[in-house]
Amino acid sequence: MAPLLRIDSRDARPIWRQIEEGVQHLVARGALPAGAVVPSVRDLARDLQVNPATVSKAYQRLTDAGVLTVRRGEGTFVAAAPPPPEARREDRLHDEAARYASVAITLGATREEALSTFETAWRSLTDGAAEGEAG
Amino acid sequence: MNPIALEGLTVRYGARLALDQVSLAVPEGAVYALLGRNGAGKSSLVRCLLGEQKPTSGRALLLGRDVWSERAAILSEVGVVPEEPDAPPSMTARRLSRFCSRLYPRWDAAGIEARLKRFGVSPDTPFGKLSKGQKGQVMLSLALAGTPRLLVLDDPTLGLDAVARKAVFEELIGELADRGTTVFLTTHDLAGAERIADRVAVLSQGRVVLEEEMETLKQRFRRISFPNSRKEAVARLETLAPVAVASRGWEVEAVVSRYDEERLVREDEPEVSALTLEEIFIAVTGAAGETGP
Amino acid sequence: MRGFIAVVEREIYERRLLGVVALFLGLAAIVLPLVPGLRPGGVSVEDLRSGMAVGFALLLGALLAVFLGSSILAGELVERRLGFYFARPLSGRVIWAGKIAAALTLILGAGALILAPAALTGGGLSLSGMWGTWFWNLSGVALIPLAVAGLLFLLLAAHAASVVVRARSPWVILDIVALGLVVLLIDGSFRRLIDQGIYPTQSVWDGSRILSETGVTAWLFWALLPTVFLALAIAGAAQVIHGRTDARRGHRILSATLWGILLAAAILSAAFASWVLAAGPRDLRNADRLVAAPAGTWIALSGPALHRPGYHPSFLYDFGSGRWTPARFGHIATFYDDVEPAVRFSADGRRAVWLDYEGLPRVDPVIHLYRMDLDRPGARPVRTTTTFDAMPGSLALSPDGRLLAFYHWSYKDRSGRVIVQETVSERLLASIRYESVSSRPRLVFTPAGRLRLYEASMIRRPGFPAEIRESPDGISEIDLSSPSPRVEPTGRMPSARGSGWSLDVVHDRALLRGKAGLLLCDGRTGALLARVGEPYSYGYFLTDGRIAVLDRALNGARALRLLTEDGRSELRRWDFGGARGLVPAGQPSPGRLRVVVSATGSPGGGWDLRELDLESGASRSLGRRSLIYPTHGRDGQPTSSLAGADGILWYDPVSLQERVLLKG
Repeated sequence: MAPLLRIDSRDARPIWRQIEEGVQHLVARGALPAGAVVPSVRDLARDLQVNPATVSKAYQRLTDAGVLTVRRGEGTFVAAAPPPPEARREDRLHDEAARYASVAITLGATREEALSTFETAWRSLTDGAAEGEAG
Repeated sequence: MNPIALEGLTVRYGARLALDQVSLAVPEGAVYALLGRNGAGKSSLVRCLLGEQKPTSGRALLLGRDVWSERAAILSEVGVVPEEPDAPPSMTARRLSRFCSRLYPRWDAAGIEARLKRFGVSPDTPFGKLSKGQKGQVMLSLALAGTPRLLVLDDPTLGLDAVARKAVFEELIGELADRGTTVFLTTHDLAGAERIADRVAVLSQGRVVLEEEMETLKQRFRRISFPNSRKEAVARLETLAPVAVASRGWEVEAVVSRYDEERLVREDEPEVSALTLEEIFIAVTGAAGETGP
Repeated sequence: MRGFIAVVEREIYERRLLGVVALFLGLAAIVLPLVPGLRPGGVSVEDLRSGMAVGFALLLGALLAVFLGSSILAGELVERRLGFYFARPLSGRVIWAGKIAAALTLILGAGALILAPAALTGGGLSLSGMWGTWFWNLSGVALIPLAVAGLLFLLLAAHAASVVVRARSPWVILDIVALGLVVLLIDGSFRRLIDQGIYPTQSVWDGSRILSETGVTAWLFWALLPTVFLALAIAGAAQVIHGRTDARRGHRILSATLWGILLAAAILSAAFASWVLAAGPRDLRNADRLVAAPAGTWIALSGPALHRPGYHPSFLYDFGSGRWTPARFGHIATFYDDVEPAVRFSADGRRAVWLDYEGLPRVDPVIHLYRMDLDRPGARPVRTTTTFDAMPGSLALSPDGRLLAFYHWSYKDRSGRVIVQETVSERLLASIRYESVSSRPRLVFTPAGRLRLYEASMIRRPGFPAEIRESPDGISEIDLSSPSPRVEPTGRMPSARGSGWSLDVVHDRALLRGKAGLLLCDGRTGALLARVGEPYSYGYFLTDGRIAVLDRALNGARALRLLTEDGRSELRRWDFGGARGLVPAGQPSPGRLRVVVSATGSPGGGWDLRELDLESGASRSLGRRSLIYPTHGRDGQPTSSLAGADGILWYDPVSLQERVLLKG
């Protein structure tokens, strides 16, 4: 798990968010398939050299969001994600798009610039997924 | 009850004021990092904290009790790792464990053995013959074996190489994960501190100049740079409370302590980046302590 | 408690090599004496073994005490280790106590290990002998607590000194000053007490006397000794408990505590010494020596002081006004192997002289002559320039106090002299060589202005060693108005083969008491004038020249007879039946005489005070008294004061009042 998840001290996001979103990305890319076991709070904390409470918070949020499940006595696993209801998914996409657009406008980007940047990000993620599938 | 509470702690050596009305509190279960340059007053603070020194005024409360007057009783639940490993050089780790086991109500002798094995330290080597890293590891093991409610570590990784440092942190994190011990540490290892601590305080020239959650600290500090052509834009950053401004050939950069995205003027072409704890620390103490120790 | 034991064990374990060293020394002590040539002649193997063992034990013990004392708690090295202790749940008390206990155990244990081989091999350990004599004649058993105390003291003192030195603070000046003050005050207190004689007169270094002495000096010693130990221990503990790992703070606390206690003790010592020496005549339990001025209300007295065992002060006391002055008069030998206070009053009671010695009576005392005018309100004793290297054999003051005479045998000149000088100016009037056979001739100024000497001669009996008579028989005179005064014999007194004599200077008569009866003789020629009483009767010269004789019949009956001046006629007689004790007790007026009578005659018992009217013969009782020293007065003067259980009774001749001078 260590090389897959990295904490960046230069990242403006809090550590728990970095872990949370990191796991989410790994799950989204398929690097963590459904049912795969994830390291315990203790182990991940030691690996990343971060406060276990931080890992615990991230895990808690992921569990609440349904990304991870805890099976007593056995550990924490990637949940078999049920397909989110259409409506939620639509709203979510819309919210994220709106946020991105707002940030881009504030920064004075043109529409073309914003779109091309988006393209680049998408490509990098899907390419990574492709790598994951291959490896 | 906060495991640690300092109330108006003042320490004066003759004319010199080492600590000036320092007040802070460490909540239960927190990992609290105290940062400061050399000579900022950290050693005096730790000595007062452990009841080794009587403050000129104010008091230090450990586990709710005044540590100067009730030190022996309180310390049975506190694990201490000093800056300089100070166990008697002729004693082996095994003997040290045996000695300490008579002083603490709960002593985990097996735990020490396991830890020393993990560290690769032989329990029968005299303390004086161990390397510095190994000495620190023994002190940490001794501190943890008393199953303390509170851990006080005074620069536990000072002078350790990367491997030893990692080993110490791993041990610490394991303890935190297992038992949720409250931890108070002073350190120069800012990279390590920013990952493990959830609260941080900065001591500069005897005063607490900063004390908050790690998360909010990192949220509100940003570096904002402008191209040279826009250097007058720095003046417009007043509301963001800049703490340092520097000119770098091709750009001007300012470190602000009250970052608000909304307040940026996009015409000024600002470039915003987050700061590591080390960079925040330098900005805060560099600005406040121009004269240094 | 567990922490304490853990600390002790750890501290001892760390220094376990000492045991090896001690054992090695112990074996050396038993092996070395066997090496030929190492044994001094005349010393047995056993003695040398125990001597070496004890020597090694004391030496190593002392070294350890100093070394451990300075390192175990104050050493710089240990400061870091103290940090280790202080980061554990160990209270400062436990840390200090544990380390001191460990140090003591190491010191005493090492000592025992050194002594063990010598004690076990044959002869055992003889601690007396060589070592005993070195240490003040103490026996072996007493040496052990002394050694332990000494080592403990070294340990605690080394700790304190080390703290002071290692703190490297400029305030060490205060420590030095405080030490100086404490030493000065305490030494001064002892000196003052010893100077006033509150100490055995042997050498100060006689250790066994120190231990058995029970006077106030010993009190002070035994009070200060544990105080010093306690002060060191408490200060050391305070330094650890409150100074913790801060060297400077520890020094401040140690000094404040140590000097606080010791200065208080030193000041109390000085105050105690002052209190002891502030005793006045009213603080005497009783007066065992008392001389009253012939007139006036001054007396010279000495006795044991109340509540101050060992203190035996003497004073000149005016019981009329309450004024008093310390007057440390010595004692002069008289005939009959008795001593009397070396105080003389003039006949009018207006001047007193006495002999005082400086400090402790040592081998070469310096004895000073003091004088004092008693009638002036602000009068103080005056030390004259007259000094002696030994107690003069005799001292006399003329009736008007103007002239002073004494007989002195000087070690320097190896000769005796009779010296007469003016009292105030000390101008020498006569200095006559005179070798007194008895060494204590009685000197008396006669009304005619001459100096009379009463001397006892030698008895030479064939086959017996020569000895000096107990009573005087030779009478001589010195004419002071002559240009070259000489001692001129004037007569001889008969021997009463007895044990008492008294003198009436005014009428120049003497009464001799003895087996031959009570004899009245002429004071100048010694001629027998009359036999006025039976053997061993007492005789008294009354103020008007008449004589009172106390007869004691074989059946115990006592009678008091009043005789005429020439002793030939009896004027009156009082019978007292079987009274066992009867002592004249002063004349309140010329016509009256008081006596105390007792059925049992024992001191402390009940005595009946009676007043006899000399003219009418009447006798009336004045009540019962409890008396301690009813004694027959000197020189035939009826005692005008009696030391009683409730004080000293004085009969004021003017008001005819009986007064109690001191409350017992």
